Amino acid sequence: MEMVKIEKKKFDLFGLGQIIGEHKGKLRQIRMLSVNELKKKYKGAALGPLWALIKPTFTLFILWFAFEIGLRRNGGVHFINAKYPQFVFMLTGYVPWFYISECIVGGSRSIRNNKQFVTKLSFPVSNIMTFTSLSGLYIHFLLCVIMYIVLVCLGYGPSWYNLQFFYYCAMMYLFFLVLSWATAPLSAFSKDFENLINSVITGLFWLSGIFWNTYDIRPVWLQRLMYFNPINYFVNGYRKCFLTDTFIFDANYTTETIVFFAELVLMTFVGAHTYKKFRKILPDVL
Amino acid sequence: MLSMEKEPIIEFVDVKKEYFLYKNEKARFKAIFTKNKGVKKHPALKGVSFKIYPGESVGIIGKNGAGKSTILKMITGVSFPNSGQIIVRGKVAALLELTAGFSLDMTGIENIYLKGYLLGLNDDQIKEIEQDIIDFADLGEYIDQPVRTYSSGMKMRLGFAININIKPDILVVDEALSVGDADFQQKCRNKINDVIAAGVTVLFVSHSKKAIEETCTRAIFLKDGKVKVDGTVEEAFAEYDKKK
Repeated sequence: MEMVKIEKKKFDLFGLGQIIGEHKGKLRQIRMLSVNELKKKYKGAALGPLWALIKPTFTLFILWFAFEIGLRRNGGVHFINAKYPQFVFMLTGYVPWFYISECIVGGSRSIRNNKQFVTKLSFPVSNIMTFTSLSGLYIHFLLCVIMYIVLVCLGYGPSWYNLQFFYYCAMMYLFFLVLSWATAPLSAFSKDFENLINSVITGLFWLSGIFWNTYDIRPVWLQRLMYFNPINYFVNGYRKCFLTDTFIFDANYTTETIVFFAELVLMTFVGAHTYKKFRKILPDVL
Repeated sequence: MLSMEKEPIIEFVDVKKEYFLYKNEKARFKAIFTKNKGVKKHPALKGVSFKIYPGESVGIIGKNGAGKSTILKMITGVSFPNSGQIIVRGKVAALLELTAGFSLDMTGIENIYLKGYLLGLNDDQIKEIEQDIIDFADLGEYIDQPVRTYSSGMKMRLGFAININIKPDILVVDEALSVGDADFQQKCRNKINDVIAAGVTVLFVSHSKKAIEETCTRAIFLKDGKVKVDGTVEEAFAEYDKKK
């Protein structure tokens, strides 16, 4: 009678192997789809891609107005080694935050938004998260260039430490990508999960050090607790490269770095595992 | 059967598939944490086995809900079984969802590349067939316009042109396929017949005995998620008509 072949169990670390396999030789496809994602987002509007700049600029202005004029906190913010004007401090925090928030929200919606790839084509679904977050990265680069010009004009930099940007940016991309490996399939499966993420995002904004210094708060245990929020690692990291000229692996911040990497590794496995678990049922539930 | 010595190009071994039926969104949210305990299931395939050999033309018949689309979705790699094994050896061109994967904001040419990548081709392979696709779709100047400006018929034509030109090993055709006006419809039929004559393996889904007899030498009759008859077109339809 028939011999039923049993599929060889390939080495697949919590599903990580599957995701890496799905990306092999797909570079062009991912690049094309990431550009397409941008086109989709800004098509039809007269100002088109300018909206990518208008939205964060406007929000930043409002925040600055509320804090500097409204609350009269015009003394600036002390951060690591010096006092910085409120505007400069917020600018360096808000630019990475804008990417992070787009990535968390957009990442969690990505599979549902690209339903047709899941239900109608044989498509490596994990690529959806990659090209979605990549399209956000283009906007982020643009904002960073503008931010850098403003900072240099105001007398901050240039400095060799500015190059650390590439480390923080890469880590930020990676972290929120692996996060979306978990959130995107869950949101695709249940709309309630997507709403949950949308509700959490505002809280995350106020809880992270976008316009206040997380290194300054008391008591000390609360300050340490802040290390567990990866958003702080990036927001403060950007300030370390553009404002304070602090080395990434500066001895004062070893604990924070270790906590971040532990979270990154953990999130990678949680994300890959969740993705693997949901991959095969996604076409049925979408 | 044509060539029993050869490896089957499509092989289903005791394939089972169940769909979970969630009562509402709340049940679905709960299922994330409870591993689908107590959720009602609908069995779509109850152990389907068959082999299709290279060069065969097989008709698939059955009423709505018999499991035809589920099987096709598995062959095209969209859906996955709960248990059992599916082996597909070769490139599949499915004339089912012709416009799936199109980006409305890209031009026709760009979409040829995008769709080509999605179907697993590389730049060189796409370049090779690009002109054939453009000629077949026959969209004139529109090929350089964004696909959102196309009529639905034009989108279908481009979709068909791409799918049929990728040099598939397996062609999946749904008879209900409608591609624009009568002229183009005829052009598509001719093209499908050319590809079939060239020796590609064909899966043909239809309710019409005449259409299946024209192209197929074998038919599989599905009933309630099982293979009821796997034999000649005559045998399959005898059983199919009996139940009407």
